[in-house]
Amino acid sequence: MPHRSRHRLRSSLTLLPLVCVMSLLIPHAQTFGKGEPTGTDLEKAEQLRKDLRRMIELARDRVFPALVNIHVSTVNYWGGKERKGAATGSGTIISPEGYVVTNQHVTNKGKKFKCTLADKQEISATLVGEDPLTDLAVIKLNLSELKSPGTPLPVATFGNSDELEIGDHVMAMGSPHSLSRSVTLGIVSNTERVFGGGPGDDVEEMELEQGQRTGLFTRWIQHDALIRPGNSGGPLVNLRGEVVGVNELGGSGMGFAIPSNLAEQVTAALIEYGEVPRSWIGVSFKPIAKTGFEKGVLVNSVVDDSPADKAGLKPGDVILRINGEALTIRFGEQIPPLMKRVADLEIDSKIAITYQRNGETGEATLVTEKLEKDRGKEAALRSWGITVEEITPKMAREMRLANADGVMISGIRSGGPAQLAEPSLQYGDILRRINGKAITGLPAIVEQYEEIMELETLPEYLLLQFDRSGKNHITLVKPKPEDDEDPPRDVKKAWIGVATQPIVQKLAKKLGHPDQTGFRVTRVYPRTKAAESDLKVGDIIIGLNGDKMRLKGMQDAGLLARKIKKLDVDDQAKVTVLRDGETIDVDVPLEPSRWTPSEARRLENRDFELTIRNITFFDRDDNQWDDGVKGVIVEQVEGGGWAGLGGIRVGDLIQRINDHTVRSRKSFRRAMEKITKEQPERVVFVVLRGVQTRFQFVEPEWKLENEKKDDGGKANTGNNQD
Amino acid sequence: MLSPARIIMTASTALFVSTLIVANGTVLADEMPNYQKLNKEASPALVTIKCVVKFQGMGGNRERERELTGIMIDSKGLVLCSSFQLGTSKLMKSFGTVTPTDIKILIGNDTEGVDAKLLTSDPDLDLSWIQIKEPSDKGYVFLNFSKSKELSLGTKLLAVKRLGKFFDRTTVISEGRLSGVTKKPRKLLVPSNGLDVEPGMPVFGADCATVGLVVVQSPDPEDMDANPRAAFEGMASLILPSGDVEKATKRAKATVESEDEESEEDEEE
Repeated sequence: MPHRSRHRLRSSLTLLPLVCVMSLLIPHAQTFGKGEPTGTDLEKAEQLRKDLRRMIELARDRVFPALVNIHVSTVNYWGGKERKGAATGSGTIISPEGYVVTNQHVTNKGKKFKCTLADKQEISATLVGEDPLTDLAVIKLNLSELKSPGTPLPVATFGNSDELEIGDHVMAMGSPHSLSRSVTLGIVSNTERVFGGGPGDDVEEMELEQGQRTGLFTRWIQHDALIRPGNSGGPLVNLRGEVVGVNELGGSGMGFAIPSNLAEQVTAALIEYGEVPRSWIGVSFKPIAKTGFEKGVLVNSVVDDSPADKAGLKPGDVILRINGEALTIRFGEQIPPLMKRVADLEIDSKIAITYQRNGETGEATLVTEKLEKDRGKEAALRSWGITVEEITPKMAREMRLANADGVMISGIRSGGPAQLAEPSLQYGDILRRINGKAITGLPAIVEQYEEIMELETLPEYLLLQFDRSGKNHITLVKPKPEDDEDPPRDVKKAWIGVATQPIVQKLAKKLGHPDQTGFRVTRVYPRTKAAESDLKVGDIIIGLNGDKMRLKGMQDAGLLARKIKKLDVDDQAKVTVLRDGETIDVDVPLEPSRWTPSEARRLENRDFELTIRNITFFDRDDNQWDDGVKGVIVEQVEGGGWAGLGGIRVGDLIQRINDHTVRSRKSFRRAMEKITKEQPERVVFVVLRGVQTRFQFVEPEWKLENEKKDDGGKANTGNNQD
Repeated sequence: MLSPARIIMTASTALFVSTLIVANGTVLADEMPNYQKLNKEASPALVTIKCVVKFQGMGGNRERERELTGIMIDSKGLVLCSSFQLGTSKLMKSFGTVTPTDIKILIGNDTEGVDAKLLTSDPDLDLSWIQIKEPSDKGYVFLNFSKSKELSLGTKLLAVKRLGKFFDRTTVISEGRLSGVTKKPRKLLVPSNGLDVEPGMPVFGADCATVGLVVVQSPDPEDMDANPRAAFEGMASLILPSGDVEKATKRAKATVESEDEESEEDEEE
């Protein structure tokens, strides 16, 4: 796409109101300096306020209705596992078909997109394409989900970012901190911001994540309209109501937006091709400012076997002309346009280069190649305890691999089969073969994994061949679905169903019995043998089976429990207590200690990504639930999982799921199995949170889960313990 | 400069030490330990436990492979080890739920191991019991913890432990003496510095009979409630007498049996 010429003239429409602002403010200030403003001055000031407000309103109303808040459900690969997460950002509808432009770091690793429109309708969207090199992405709204399908969508239009000048007023729109739509106003601080990387570096190479470059072709619009996390992907709007930028970075009162001319070009390509086809020559440039040269651009590095390498260009050459056009790159700000100029050429274009080397001028012709993506896709091979990433040509070069065959180990699950292998696999290993079969890439290994895990009988071991630091290794990995076992339970010991506090010497003295330290009963647990005995709250236990309680201090707070634990579960204890100044003996039958919450039976559901456990005696007592209260307690929820996104929280007592009553782990498992089979669009969890009942609506994305044939069919039930 | 009182003290201490030396000379002659016998009897019962410990709680979920030494305590594949070494100590449990999984018992030079499961733990005593799932019909060499005799201070003690896999799990014997006995939180034998003790490892007398098991003793939860630093200040590796090990094992077996019999909460509906 041709680069737009830079227009420096403003239109009278933009200029006029600002002139009005100045002409009115100056006399106004003078008037205040001299005395009371006149009626005419006040009228003019009022008119100015109205005009300014109207101007902002007009601009706002051209874009605001097209603003969307984007909620992204993500799948990340970390620690040898896939993990669901959530992200939010902003976007702008740019076509009647429902295309929305946003940042790539908003859609990154997104599997599911929900957009809240200006009229608060929430509809889903699908990913059209991403361009991490410019941090731009396009998603498409599913218009069939609109309340009134066929209703025209509000659409914003791109302005010409080349027309922006320092000092121009701009508005940043978006959903900061995921709050509903907001607008801030500021001015343009810089129109060609690049980021310096410190002494010696001219332009910092920025990364969105490890190994993923961004901003290669970008000179950001720096402005001071306040933007916060959540504004990402939202529009920067001029006072004509045109989108002149896409907000990307911010902090310390500064915002940085991708110019609309770049964004318009990239989004058009994403909509047409799903990617941005770019040319690549394999050269990095450096400005000549400190080189002593007067013209041209310095070749900083040349990638082996790249078009530039094949054409004979070498680091240190100074390129004087490209396709006959002279160029002089003195400053870092000039690098992104040059990079873009090369990238914008048709792939397989011939470029005539005139260069200078050791004082001699030379000519070279190179043929551009397609610029490949920096990073590859990832997949989790859960039952082997690894995540793997496809190897891109750039990764192969940087890891000094002979080719991009195989996949890279991007994560190892601690304690998983790959880590337990001898030798164990490590991050960065390149998997080449499984059981002798070559791995050609990511789809191949995923296919092979599924084939193996669907076998009736899993092989005891898989023979894996991998490269590490240029050396070829083999190892055996035992495929094993990830199972969770119940936590171990402790030995049952003798117990008295009371809670106590230690009465140390000072407290005993204050209570009037300085020689009788002991334990004051603070609660007699109901439904225990102690409750059937004569023990009462307020009793001070000063002896057990004839032994006096001698507390030297709080370090003896466990004395009573220790003495009881030494007895047999079926024993009868003679408890000596002080009650109302009198010493009496109370016979209390002992009983086995009760299970604690950490010993309760539990169950993890991997589809909904939550772990529940049974109610214990102590849960009932803490929450004052009688025996009639049934359910399972939520022990753990993944923030970005279905249950987490549906608002289920740790500590909730799940009592009903859709029509299924939940009384314990057993009925929870049964309910979830039925729900997994039925795959409803919405699952209603009725939970008890504190003293209130709540309805939590969970919207599972069954399709995603079905696509992931994993763990030999384990995902079919969702429960990890069948 | 020494004060007159200190001189008297020093003189009496010297007298006491010389008496001990004389006494020890006699003891040493009587208690000449037979390292070879001990090594022969104890080594086969020292097994290697491999497992993956899963932690759920503070700071998220984590998994870690662990390898520790356990003791075969009956012929049917019951293995005893330190909860602390296994990762299921009171301290760890205070931060979250700890579940050892994929437990394997490696006997002798075996490198594959046999599947086992954690039966139960006694965090107060720092003991965990693991059962081999399919025990060999041939039975296993085991150590007997049933005897518990009263020991006097200065009694010779022998500790056996295994070095790590990088040293081929060689058994090592060290010698020391009983240097103290605690009453709180329970009766525990305090070894002298010379005894190279490791949690979960057996300690023997000069006659090669078991004296006890080395455990990590830490304060009870109630003690720690009022003393935040107690978890660290009150922790020590001491010897739990054999009789208490046997009693605890009986109680552990009873717990497992009762758990098998009792209806789980799942059945309450």
